Amino acid sequence: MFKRNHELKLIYIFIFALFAIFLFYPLVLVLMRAIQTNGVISLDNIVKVISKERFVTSLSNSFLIASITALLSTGIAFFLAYTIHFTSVPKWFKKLINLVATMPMLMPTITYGFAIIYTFGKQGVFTKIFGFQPFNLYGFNGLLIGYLIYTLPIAFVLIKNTMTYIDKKQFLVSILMGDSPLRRFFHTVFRPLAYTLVIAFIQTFFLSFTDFGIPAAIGGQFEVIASTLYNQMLGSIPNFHNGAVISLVMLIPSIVAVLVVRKIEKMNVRYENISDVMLPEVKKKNWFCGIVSACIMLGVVSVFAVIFILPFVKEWPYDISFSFVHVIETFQSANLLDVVKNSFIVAIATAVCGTIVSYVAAIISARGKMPKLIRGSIDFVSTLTNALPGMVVGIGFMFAFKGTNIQNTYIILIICNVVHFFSTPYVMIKNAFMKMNLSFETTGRLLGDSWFGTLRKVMIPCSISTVFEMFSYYFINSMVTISAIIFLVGAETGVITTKIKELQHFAKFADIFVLSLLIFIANIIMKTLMNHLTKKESEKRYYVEAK
Amino acid sequence: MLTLNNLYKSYGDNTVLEDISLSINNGEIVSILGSSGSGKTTLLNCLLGLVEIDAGTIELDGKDITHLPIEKRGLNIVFQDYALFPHLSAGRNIVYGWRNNPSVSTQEEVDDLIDLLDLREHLDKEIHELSGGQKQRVALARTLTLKPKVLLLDEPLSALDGVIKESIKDTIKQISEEFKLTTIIVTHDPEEALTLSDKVLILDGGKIAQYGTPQEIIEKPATKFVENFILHQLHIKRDNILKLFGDQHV
Amino acid sequence: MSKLNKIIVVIILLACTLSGCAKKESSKVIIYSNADEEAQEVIKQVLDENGFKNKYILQAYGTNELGGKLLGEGIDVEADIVTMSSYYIDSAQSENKMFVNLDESVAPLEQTPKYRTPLLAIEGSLIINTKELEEANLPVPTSIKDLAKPVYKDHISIVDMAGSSTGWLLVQTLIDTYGEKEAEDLLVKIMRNAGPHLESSGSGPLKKVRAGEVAIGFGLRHQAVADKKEGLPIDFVDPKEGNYALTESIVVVKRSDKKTKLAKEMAKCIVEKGRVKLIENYPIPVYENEKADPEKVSKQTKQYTKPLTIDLLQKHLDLSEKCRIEARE
Repeated sequence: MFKRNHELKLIYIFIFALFAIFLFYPLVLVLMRAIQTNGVISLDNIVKVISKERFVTSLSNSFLIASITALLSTGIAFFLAYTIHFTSVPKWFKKLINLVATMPMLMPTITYGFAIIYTFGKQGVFTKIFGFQPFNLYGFNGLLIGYLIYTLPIAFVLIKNTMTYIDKKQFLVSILMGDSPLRRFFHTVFRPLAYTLVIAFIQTFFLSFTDFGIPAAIGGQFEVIASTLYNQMLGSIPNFHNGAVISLVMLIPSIVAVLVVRKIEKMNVRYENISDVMLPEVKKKNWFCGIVSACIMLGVVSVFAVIFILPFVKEWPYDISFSFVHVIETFQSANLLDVVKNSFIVAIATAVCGTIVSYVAAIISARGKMPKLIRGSIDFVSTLTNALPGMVVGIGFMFAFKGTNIQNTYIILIICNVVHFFSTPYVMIKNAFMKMNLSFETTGRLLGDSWFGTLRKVMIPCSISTVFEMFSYYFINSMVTISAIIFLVGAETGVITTKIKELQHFAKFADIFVLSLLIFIANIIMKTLMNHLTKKESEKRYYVEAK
Repeated sequence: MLTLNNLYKSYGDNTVLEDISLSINNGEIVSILGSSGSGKTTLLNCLLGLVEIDAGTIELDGKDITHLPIEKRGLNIVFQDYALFPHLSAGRNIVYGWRNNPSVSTQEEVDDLIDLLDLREHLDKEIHELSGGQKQRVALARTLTLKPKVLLLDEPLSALDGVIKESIKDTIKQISEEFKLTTIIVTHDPEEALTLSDKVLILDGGKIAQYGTPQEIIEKPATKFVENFILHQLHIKRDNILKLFGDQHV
Repeated sequence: MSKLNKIIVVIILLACTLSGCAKKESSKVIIYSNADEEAQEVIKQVLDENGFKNKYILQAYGTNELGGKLLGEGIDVEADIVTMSSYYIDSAQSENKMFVNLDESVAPLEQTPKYRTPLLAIEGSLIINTKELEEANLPVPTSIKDLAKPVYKDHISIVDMAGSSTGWLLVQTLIDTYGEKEAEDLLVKIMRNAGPHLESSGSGPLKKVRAGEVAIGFGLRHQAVADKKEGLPIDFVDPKEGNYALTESIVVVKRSDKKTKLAKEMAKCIVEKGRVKLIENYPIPVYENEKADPEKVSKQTKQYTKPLTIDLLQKHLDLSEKCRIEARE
């Protein structure tokens, strides 16, 4: 017993050091500027900023839209995951849901805003085809659509993942117990998922709360806090002090979130057995879920279609003849190959390091019998990274590591991504761990395995599909991220997204969509590869065989 | 009376159940005995209504229940792993189904049941705080509050240790008598089947090898299978026990 | 010492090396630029032709991000040469004292501090989507003042100067021409007309015009010129008030003597050899003895009467903020 704690302690120290140096230190440097002006510490600055009208409006706007987005996104994601796990719609349809629901994740957010304009705008594809503009897309409506598409994949992945670990036999018991459909739903699906649903709500809330790309394109007069932050940090007069105050305020909800997560921790349900029993088929349910899912997918795809159309059109909307001009132009641009190479290096290294870091962090908080404080601290880090605007992370890193060896290297980009995207993979694997039989480690130990032996032979194989999912999450996110690393790329470490940002500056949309497609394809390949590996190593067999 | 008439079930080319016919009188305890792959789980699923049978009928007290949905058949089951709701306390698990149909049992009956199964002191406990035997009894209680006509028990003793095993056996018998409850037990253990039940159904490759009282089976095994596999296991067990006492009693 | 303590020590050491080590100087000169692709091409071409081939790396940034980097990283910025909006450079210099004085060379038209010299000037103009304008049956605007007319409601897009300095050009125009009081009144009306098309990015209006979302925008003239040349239904109108301009400057960051010397040479080369080419795309003279092609030059390039300082920007920004709030009510 002592020995095992020892290993866990080492891991904890590693994790602690990592986040102390690469999260808290940069963050403190940013936040210090909130209360410090020219070496004098005072609260004047804070008072000055938060009493501004623009600040108050945008903050309340952000709360409103982020909450609504989170609610809808979690609901839609739940519905899609439910259709996959609890109905018998055809297999290919389930695969399609899986693909479409996660598709938006495979592209950079800065692409979404423009995609929406080119879909539902005055000259948009939708408007051209159907001859009318479905709604006024600037402001609330556009933002909601943008955020929904942006956050849906995360919520979907989280919920779908947890659903795999629900004991489907409970469903049978509930039928035999004569439950009404509502009560059955509550006890066999909703209640076991409640914890994950709250987590999904929180994650999607912060994604929309902190994203800047979508409001920049279609926010209109509905100003949100992230754009206020951008204007302060990087506007015509960069003011890091004011920016720091806004970042500080934006962190308050994350502290609330940490407390909420702590509070509902015990809602998490741990099944002793996960059995995949046959569920009685309900035709009506299949049809209903199938049709609604199809509509949701249609909505997602319709926004994305434009990204696949525009690059191959000469000059939308004025000359819509087919043409490879933009594709060729983009590929001929000088440093494209370097940029693509850099993107891959960073994404793969991030995926490897990130998966390891979040895996071991989750072991500490979910499997090791560590003190509450330690487990809590990791959860805190997870929620914090999730709630931090990328811009704040990037600027913090810039302050913290200027003049060091890692400035302008791949390493700083990789570490930044690992820290910035820590939350979701961590939550995924933690959930998986919490559903996993508690006595695996003890069993392994008793069978003569070392701690690492058990990890390698039992824990990892049993969670391998989650590991692959974490890997592709990290890979995909480092391929699409921009907000933090834009401040950290050097002359020789530029990636595809920073190139997109450059093009955006010159309003070259077709080229932007070409690069987005490139990222999309890379991500699709990675996902397919991971799915293939998952299938090969299907963890299912560990449960089925045990049964 | 529960009657099965010429049940057939196959998955593709693989015939799992072939011409199963039998009847079980009310209040009887019947064990379905067989090795893995014998079709006993499929038979259980067919009875429960999880699996649609290909041919044949199932009747309960003269009523055809072959095509009724599972909740309307009057059968209920305690799963091998109990499938208790992990987010509810023991007490809430027990009254879970009863709360849907409060008219089935009175408060008094539920209280009696809790006392009978000796669960009174565990009501407030979380599921993960219970021992295997306690979980088993909670699951039994949860099912019995609904007063099923037929109780199915899927490997009820396999996860329990010796002493508790015997006490659960007694409990099952007691309940069956007290509630006049037809009880069907699925098991792979001949000893369990023969000591616990009024009748034993032995399945072999999806067909009935023998259906009779324990005595009939021991005295007149109907097929080579019954003799070689089922009874042989018991002989080995007996011999091993006798060996412990040395040669003097042999 | 227990294993645990050893590990802690290792981690601390690691952290120290990370933050303590001085950065090695790269052999190549690194140039950060917020300039458009055309200007970047000129810079590369000039350097390559004058013996600097493979001795530099040019990295492009958006103005906002580059501004953030200059102010945030200060002297530790990777770049040895930066080309950037002049007032940003001034602000970075006053905050971080990071640029060296340049060698004497051609004299700029405008009085400039010693550490920077102008690279090019960009000017604002009205940008119109001819098709949209026709479809919406709108008159062609001739001045920025026109944008305040009710007929243009929901048909125009402008830049919020809180987000980008392109927006400042519009505010400058109004204040310089009509005085602060009338300017305020006009700006409110223009902002009302723009409605949701008040952009935070400098290229926002052009994007909206190009996508056909609005018929008229206020943006950078040379970008509209480029679009028109590409055959898009885009045209530009030089407003009656004149085309106000902002200069972009080039600076050299303090480095080792050797590196600074090389960088200074390059900067000098870019300015002396590059101006002839730059003035083709950005037809505004910034040095004495320069002349822009009369075909391309805007009707009336103008400079704000007072020097464009950060303080002035802040003053104008406050005014713009006031208008924005008023416009929404």
